Amino acid sequence: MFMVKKTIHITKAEFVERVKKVVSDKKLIHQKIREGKFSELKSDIKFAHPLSDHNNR
Amino acid sequence: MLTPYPIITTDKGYRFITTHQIYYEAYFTDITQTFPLVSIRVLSFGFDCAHVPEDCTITSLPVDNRVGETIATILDQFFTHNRDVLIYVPMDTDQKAMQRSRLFDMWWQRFKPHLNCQVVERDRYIFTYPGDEFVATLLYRTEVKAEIQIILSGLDSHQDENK
Repeated sequence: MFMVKKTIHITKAEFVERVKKVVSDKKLIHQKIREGKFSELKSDIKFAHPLSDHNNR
Repeated sequence: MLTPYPIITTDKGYRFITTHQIYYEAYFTDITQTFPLVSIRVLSFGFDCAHVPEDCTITSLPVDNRVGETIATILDQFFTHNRDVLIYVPMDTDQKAMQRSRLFDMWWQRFKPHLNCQVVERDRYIFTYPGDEFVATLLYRTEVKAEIQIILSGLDSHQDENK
């Protein structure tokens, strides 16, 4: 299936700050995972469990 | 037929352990509030190695197709039960984001024919903002394609087609 490939330029200050937060959260998550301290991560990051429980094996 | 590793639910997401005793953590975070004007949930998806045995290093992991099969299975379970949009942004702290994107693409192309949910589309975006940029893969069910355009048109200040 055709895959769209585009560049999105974000310049509005409000959105820049939001995107920076997403990127910094991600860096923090991966840092903690690599340190083996993911379970100890305390932050305002909203983790989700969207997989249906009955599918977890 | 895929042969994913067993997926274990944890406090912050999901974990699987390979036959080489390499632990992977996979996670979803709700980033809906990042985007203006959306009526569906937007989740960030990621995964990484949490533990490697002493005879391995994180940069020289053994080839293991079941890792990709497990990630594909997680995505399949997600899209079978959700209409939410997923954004995969590969980690770039070691400047290997493009390599990870290519690996993700390879897994997707290889394993998608074996998934239950066949109504998922995949687009690639480079988001730029003052001082930085990142590569992102958007995955979404075909029925919410219009929502994707709303999400992106709300974010962008200037948009170019990639050459």
